[in-house]
Amino acid sequence: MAERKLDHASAEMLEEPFIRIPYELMRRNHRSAQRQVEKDFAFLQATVKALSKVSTTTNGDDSSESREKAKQEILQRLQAGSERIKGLKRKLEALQPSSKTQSQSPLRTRLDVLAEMQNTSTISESDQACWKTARVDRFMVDYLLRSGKQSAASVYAKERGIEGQVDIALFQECARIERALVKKQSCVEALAWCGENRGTLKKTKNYLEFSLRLQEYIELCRRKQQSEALAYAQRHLAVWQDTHMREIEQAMSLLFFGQGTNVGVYKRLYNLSRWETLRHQFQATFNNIYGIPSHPVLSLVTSAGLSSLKLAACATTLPHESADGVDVVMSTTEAETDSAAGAAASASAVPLISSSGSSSRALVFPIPSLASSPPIHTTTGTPAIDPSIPITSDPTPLHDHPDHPQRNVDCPTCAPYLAVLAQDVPYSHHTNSSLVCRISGQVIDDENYALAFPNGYVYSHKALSEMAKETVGGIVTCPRTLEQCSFDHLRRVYIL
Amino acid sequence: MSVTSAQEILAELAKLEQLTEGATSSSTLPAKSSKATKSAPPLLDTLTAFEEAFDELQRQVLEDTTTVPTLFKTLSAEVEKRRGEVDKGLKDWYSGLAKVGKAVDKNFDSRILEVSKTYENPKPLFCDDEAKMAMDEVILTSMIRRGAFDSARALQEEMSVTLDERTVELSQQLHKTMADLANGDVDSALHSIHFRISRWTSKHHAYLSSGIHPSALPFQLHRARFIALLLDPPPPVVSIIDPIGPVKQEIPAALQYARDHLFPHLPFHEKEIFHLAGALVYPPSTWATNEYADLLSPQLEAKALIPSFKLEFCRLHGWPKEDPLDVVVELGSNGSLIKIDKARAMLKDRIGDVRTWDELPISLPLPQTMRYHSVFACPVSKEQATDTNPPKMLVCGHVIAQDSLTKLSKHGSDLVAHQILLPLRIN
Repeated sequence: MAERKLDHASAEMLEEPFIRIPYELMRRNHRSAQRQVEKDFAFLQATVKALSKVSTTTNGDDSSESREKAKQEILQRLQAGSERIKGLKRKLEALQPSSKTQSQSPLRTRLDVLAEMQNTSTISESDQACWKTARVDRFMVDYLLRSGKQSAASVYAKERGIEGQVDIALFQECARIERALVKKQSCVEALAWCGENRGTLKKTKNYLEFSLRLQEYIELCRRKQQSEALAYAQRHLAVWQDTHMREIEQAMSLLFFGQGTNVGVYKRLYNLSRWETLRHQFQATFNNIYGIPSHPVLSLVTSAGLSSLKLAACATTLPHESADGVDVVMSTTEAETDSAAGAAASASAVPLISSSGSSSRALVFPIPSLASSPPIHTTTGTPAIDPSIPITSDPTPLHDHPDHPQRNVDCPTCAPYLAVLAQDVPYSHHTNSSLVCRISGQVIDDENYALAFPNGYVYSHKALSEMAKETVGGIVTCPRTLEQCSFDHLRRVYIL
Repeated sequence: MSVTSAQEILAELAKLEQLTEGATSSSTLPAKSSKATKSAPPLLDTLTAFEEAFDELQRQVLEDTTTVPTLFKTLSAEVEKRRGEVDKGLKDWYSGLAKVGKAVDKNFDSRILEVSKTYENPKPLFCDDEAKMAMDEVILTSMIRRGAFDSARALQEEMSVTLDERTVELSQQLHKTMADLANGDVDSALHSIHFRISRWTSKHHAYLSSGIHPSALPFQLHRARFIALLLDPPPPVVSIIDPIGPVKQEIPAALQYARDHLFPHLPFHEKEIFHLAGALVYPPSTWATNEYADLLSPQLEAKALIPSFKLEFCRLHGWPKEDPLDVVVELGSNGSLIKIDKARAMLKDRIGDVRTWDELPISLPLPQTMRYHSVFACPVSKEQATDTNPPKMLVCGHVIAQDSLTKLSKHGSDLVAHQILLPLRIN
């Protein structure tokens, strides 16, 4: 297990959105705190002003009735002011997390999670495994949120107890605005969002707001509300002249064209697919502001992980052609490429090998590149090797299908749906051989070296010697072909 | 020892949170105390005082202890003063927050954003409908495997696919059994195992008898129960007295259990069973000091059998032994993504971005536990064997690819092959 230790630099790289999003949200909270303070103090100052009026009016009239009235008004205004302060306090309390308040700040929660991973000296192996599982859980929720599966995402976060570690509300906001754009064809929500983030958008030279304004203008033109459209343009488009003069001019000419126009530029402006484009632009802007990568982290790591594993042997669409495994004796000096297939040929091969020490012919045996099986002991059964058999079906013995594709149930790139994703990633690259025993699932190395049956099938020494121990006379059986031979007839294979 | 990124950001966050705690706690920061005293009182305290001032004014008005002009003066002064304090508080908060931001920027370089961009062209990763559907299914499978059944149902509704009820049922069984084992109850595990063995043995008898070792799990489960019975004997059951028998026989539960369930395993676990039987002689209280101390090992407890039960269960039902999504995420998170990106950065002029590659330009290390298929790379040509270029074994036992063999023998006799390969064999 030592080799499955965490690589910290890599792990940390993936956690950037995990930390950055709550930080960005704190900044956003600060901005809305400022706005709130602005609003509430404006109200309070208005209160003061109103009271000053009361004080001047009461000066002239001293009747007890009007004094009582003034008193009531003062009390009312003071009460309203006090309520306002209470409200502000409540809001600020939510916006400025402290260690005193019960709900911990999300940033702190996540930093604690990150610290746990980084603290290698104290983390046990099982804790590390838990940490990794929780990380996959987070990535899953993130993926679900980003692909619009909001309810599954929140149920899962709750079921796994990681609500504080995922950004459900944030992505819900994003989804809500996207829905408004595409389903309702409404820019109102997106524009409100732009208003909230105007400063950042300006700083990053993001022109989402112009695109939205332009769209609202186009919609007015579409409805032939020319004067409204003109007024709208004067109010909302003109301000963008420094950066978007050309687009503004184009937009103004749109007033002359109806929706049915065939003129390219204006046809494009009227095209309803602009809404989908706006949605993408919004999504990209949203991701940009909160430091969210363009792909969900789950997709990126899945791609890299699948790529490290993907082999031709995994490709379920290409059943492995193992005819070579039966095609036994082959001499390089004679061009005997014909397939003297099967047992007859292999039987004749045996004596040739035993005399090969003095033979001048280079005798060669084809060795099928065998897939590994999962580690099996006899009672656990052989793996289901047929991709068409659902994974819950009873295991199929290897020897029923000696030429079967080499699906390995444990291999993620062979797993039904991951195999679909695997089609979209590059193959792994190998400059060194790595053999895995089909019987034991163990890696074949110098200690547990490879042995070949006379028919060319290769398994590990450990698995075959254990098999030999169980039988009288040390007979071993090739699980693929059911061919039997004495353990002594197995040949050691040297893989460099 | 360097400070980790989390610690560094946490330190700044702690300073920020101090701002909400007021004078008492800021004085606990001796280094910063001069600054801390200068900073405004916490915003919330300011507002509380502000609110109290309003309430006080209300009281004064009610009790007629103030005149309207004084009231107005006090109030207007109060609003101005508090406005200043609140602004100061917000400013302090903002600068504290900026420091947190700096710590975040220092420790995170937005690399993941850059990496993600390189997966966009010519076509974003996993963006077509088939891939999206596949990813949803992968997540659904993981949810079921983890026992998150409510989530699985929620996702199934959003995806409009039907759940495989049998898989759900099996996973429920798996999770219940693991929970039982954690509580020391081996019954449901034995039930699953026995069900399996009988079915499996009858179907695969030929393979079994050619086989390696039978699973030790049933024996281990019975052993756990046996030890538990010795440690905590159940109250004796009143047995029906055999009218013919001379005396009522009372057999300790553990002994009866050993007879019924351990002895059938004698052929494979002779030594261990005799050792266990010997334990009957000694009261468990003495085990710690005699040779039966090993029976108290937590490794023999039912709880410790959870992993092997899970493994057996997965085998039986043809499930992968680890959740495939966990495996790929672990591989991807643990260096693959970064290494692929490093290779891309180095070679992009020649081979373009990741999405255009057919094969990775570098080999990535795979832990032994995550190797699932054999790969043969020819030691001569360094090429991977394929169906048209299969590996061939030479008389000496070395293996090279067919193409290399043809090339080598073209250059001379087959002796060449021997001379090249033989020295390496000694190594």
